Amino acid sequence: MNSSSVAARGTVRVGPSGRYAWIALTAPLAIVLLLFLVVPILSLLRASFFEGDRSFNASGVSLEHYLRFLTDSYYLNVMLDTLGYGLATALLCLVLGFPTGYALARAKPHWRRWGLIIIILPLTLSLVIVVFGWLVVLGRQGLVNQVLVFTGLIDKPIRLLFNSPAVIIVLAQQFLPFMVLSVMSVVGHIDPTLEQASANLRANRWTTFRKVIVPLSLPGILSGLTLVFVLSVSAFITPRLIGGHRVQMLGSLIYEQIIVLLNWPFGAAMSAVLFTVTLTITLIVNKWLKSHPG
Amino acid sequence: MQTRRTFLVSTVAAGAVLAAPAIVRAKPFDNVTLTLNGFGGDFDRIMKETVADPLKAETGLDVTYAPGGSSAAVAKTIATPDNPPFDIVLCDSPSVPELIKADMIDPVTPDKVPNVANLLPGLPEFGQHGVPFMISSSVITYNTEETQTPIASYADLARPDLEGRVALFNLENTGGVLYLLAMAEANGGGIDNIDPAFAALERIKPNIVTLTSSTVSLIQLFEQREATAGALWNGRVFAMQNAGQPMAMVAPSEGIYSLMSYYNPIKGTKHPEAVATYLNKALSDEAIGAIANFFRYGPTTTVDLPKAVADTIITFGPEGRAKIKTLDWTKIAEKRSGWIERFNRTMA
Repeated sequence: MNSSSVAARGTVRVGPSGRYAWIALTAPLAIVLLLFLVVPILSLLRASFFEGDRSFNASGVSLEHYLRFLTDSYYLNVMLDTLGYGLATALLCLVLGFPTGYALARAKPHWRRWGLIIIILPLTLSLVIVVFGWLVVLGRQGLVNQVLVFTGLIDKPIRLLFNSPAVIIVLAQQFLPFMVLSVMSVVGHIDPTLEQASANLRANRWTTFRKVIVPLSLPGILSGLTLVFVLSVSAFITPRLIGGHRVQMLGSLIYEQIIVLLNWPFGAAMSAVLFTVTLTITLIVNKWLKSHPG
Repeated sequence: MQTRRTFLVSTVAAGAVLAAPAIVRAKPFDNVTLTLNGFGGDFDRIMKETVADPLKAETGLDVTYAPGGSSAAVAKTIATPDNPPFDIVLCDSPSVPELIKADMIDPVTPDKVPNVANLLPGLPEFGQHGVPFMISSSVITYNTEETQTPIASYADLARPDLEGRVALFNLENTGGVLYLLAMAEANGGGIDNIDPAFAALERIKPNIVTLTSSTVSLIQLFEQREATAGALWNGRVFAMQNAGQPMAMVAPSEGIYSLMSYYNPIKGTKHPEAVATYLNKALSDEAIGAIANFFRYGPTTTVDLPKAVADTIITFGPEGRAKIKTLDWTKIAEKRSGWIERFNRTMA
C-alpha cells in the first residue's frame, strides 16, 4: 500500500509546511503570554533590584530588598505561615474534593454535567462578594452561629471570624473546584473493571481505595494539590478580610508595599521570592509526575 | 406661481431652519470624555448629579467615574506617566505628596479655575497642587445599646469593659494614621516621636477584635455587632445613624484629626480645558453643598449650609475648623512605611 492510498483513506499527510503549522497555531497565544505575562514578570524582577524604595526614576542594581526580606525573621515567619496556610488549604481541599471528584467521574453523564455546573458556579462570582458573604455567614449574627445556638451546641454566639481556621475554610471553598476537576479528570480515565477485579480478589472497599484508586489517581491528586497550594499562597483579599490582623500572609504584605506604600522594589522582591518558591514546588511536582505517570 | 428661484430659496431656508438646532447644540466639549477614579456608591452618584450631568447639558462633556481605591488609582497613575489612565485623580491628603514627588499633577490657579477663590483661606495643604473638596475626620463611635459607659477618647478604648469589642482601621487606611497621631500627641509624642502612640495601642490591643484597611468592612463589623466600639470617619457614622443603627459619634478628647480629599489634575491630559471646567463645577456651591449635606463631611469652600446640616458637621465654620489639628502630610508620607511595619509586627 503506498502513501497516497493511505491519504485517500482519510489519514492526513504532514508535509514540510504542515510540520510547522503548530507555530502559526500557537503564535497568537504565545504573543499574548509574552506581552502580558513574561514581560511583566521580567519588569517585576528588574524592579526588585532597583536601589531605594521607589521605582520611578530609579536606577542601579542592588540586592538590598532581598537582603531585607531574607534577613528579617518577621518576613521569614510570614513566608512560613503563608506556605503553611497554603498546605493546610490544599489538604482540606483534597479531603473534601477527592470524594466529590471521584463520584462525579463515576456518575452518569447527565448527573456529571449538573454536578460540574454546581462545582464551577462559585468561580463565576466576584471574590470580594464571596468574601463579604462569608463575613455575613460566619458573623456573630450569621447563619452558622444561629444554627449552633438553635441546636443547643452553644449558649450564645461565638466568634468564628478573624482566625486561621476561618481563613483556611474560606480559601478551601474558593479553590475546591480546582481539586475536584483535577481528581475527576484522572479518575475518569481509570478503568472501573480494575476496581471490580480488586473486589473479585476479595479486597474490601478500603483496600481497593488504598491499593488501586489512590495510586492511579495520584497524578490528579498532586496536580490538584499544586494548583490549590499555588493559588492559596498568593491570596490576599481573603486573609485581609477574613483573617484580620492576626492572620498575616505574604500576599497582603506585597499588596501593602505596592499599593499603599508605593515601595515597588521591595514589593517586587517579595513577589519574586514567593514566585520562586511556588515555581520550585510546581517543578518538583511536575518532575515527580513525569517519573510516575501512573 | 412658484418659480424655480423661489423654490430654491425656500428649500435652502427650510434646510437652514431644520439644521439650526444642531448648529445651536454644538457645544465646546462635545465628544470629549474625562476619566476620574470615583469613590464609588453615593459619592459618585452625587458627583454625577451635581457635576457631570450639568456639565453634559451645558458643555457636552462626558465624565466617566471608575470606582476603586484611591491608593490604587495613585499607583496606576504613577506607574504609567506617559499614558495615565485618569484625567483627574481623586485621593486623600497622604497621597498628594506622592503625586507631587512623581511630578504627575498640574498646579491649579484661579485664572483657569475661578472657583478656587471660594476655597476657605489657609485650607489647601499643598499650595496650588490639588483642589480640596471635603474634610473627613476620625471620630469615636460606639453602640449605645451595648456600651453602658460613654466613650470619650481613644484612650477609653483600652477600658476593661470593652474587651473583645473594639475594631479599628489599620495604618493602610489613613483613618489609622489619624488615631495613631492623636494618641502620640495626647501622650507627649508626635510625628517625630511615635513611641507613645504604640504604647497606647499596646493597652488597647487586648480589646481589639480585628483591624482592617477597609471602611466598608469596618462598617459591616459595627452593623453586625461583631464589634461595638472603635474609630471611624464622621460621615460614615452619620450614615449608620441615618440607617437606624444605634451608633454614637463622639469627637475624641485627644482632638479632631482630619484629612482632606483632593481633585488632582493629571499632567499630560489631552483635555486641559475640560479638566479646568470640571474642577470649576466641582467647586460650585451645588456640588460642595451636596456632599456636605449627604455625608456631613466638612465643606472646603465658603458655601452656606442650612443650620440643621451645619450643626452636625464637626469641622464646619471657623470654630469647627479651629479644632482641626494641622498635619505635615509630606513628613507623614516619609514616616508611614516605618509605622506600618512596626504596626504589623506589634499588633499581629
